Amino acid sequence: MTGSRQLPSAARAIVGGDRRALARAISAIENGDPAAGPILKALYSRTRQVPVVGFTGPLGVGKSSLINLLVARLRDQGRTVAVVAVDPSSPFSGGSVLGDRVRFERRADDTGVFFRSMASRGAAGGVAAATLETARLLDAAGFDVVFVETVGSGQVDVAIREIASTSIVVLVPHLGDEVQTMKAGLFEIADVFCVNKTDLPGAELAKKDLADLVALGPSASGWAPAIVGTSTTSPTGVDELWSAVEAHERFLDTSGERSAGERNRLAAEIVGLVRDRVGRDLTRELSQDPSLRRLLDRVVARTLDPRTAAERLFQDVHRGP
Amino acid sequence: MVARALRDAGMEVIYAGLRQTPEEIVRAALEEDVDLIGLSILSGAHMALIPRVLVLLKRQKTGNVPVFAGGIIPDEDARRLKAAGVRAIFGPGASLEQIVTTAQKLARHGA
Repeated sequence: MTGSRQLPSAARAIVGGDRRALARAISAIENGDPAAGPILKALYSRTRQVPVVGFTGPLGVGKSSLINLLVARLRDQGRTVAVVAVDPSSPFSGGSVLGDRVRFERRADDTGVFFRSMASRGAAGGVAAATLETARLLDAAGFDVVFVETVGSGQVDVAIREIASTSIVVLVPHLGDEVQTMKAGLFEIADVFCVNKTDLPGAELAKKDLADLVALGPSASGWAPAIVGTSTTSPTGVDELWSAVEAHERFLDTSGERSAGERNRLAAEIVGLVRDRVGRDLTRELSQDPSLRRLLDRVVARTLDPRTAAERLFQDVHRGP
Repeated sequence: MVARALRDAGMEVIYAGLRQTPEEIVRAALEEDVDLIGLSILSGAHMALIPRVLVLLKRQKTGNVPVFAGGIIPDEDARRLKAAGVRAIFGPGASLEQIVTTAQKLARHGA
């Protein structure tokens, strides 16, 4: 390929299909390792905006099983797929047990599938930013579709909106689940609702309740979330689920939402990167720079308040070094 | 139990599940870019499976990832596995503390 000679060697290896180089670059992103910078910079222009499909929902609703079935379906069509499973790190030890791999099935020699677990760790901007950059890397590495699975609670799920082009919220028929969905803020996230385990009683009711909620009005973009029933024990609805994803991807293109959304997301990403950088630098300088340490001393001694100190710091930053 | 102890010691454990083939194990090690591989084998097939893992790791150029094992492994087999490159072997009597300490040491110096 022309131009690939100018790429850093790690970036060249990733584009060339070297899975070990890809895995190491993802580790660098996770760890906040500066080595990730040159690779991400070099590969950005090679991203094609492939579909990034987010799966979120409470524990035990069958997200992994659905992903297995969809991956098998896409592989049958000859499409390559990367799966990123995001787990929170323990706030106590910083450790974690990443168990999604257990349920992931595929042929051991199939190089058209890549599975990676991610934890929050030390990545700048948190796990959401790391996942976004990882999805981009997988795009540049040539995968046709990227799946991102998150455990159903907290910030990461809402952040899926910033990462995925299509977000699937997976639920099971269960009394009150729909209400919980609203509370958890998952309703605003969903481009597609998947009611899994339709073999359980109450599935039709759950779908109807969701339909009633959807009927309250489409989102600001004009997209009314699709509602699909699936079962993974005797696979049903999987084709319909993928059709719903494709319909949303088409909507993004025809409505102009993809480019509009992309512009907003990139603006937020740039601001986030600057904020992280400035934050890190200031934190370091507050403990090292003598004049900043004196400023901090005064706040500690109650002779200066935090807001005034921040305003002085801000003015310093704006004036530059 | 080992996975939980390692997590509590601040490690990220990719739990790969039971009855994995050597091919699946080395593939997981590559994709997850791990610092250390722990194998638990109770089936008696350790002399077939563990050397195969070591060979496959070398073949995909991740042979520098340290491997440790646990299970019911006779002393003679343990000696041969260590000679083949397994860095540590734990029998049924090993304490979690021992395993965690060894894992930390291997992860730090192994790669």
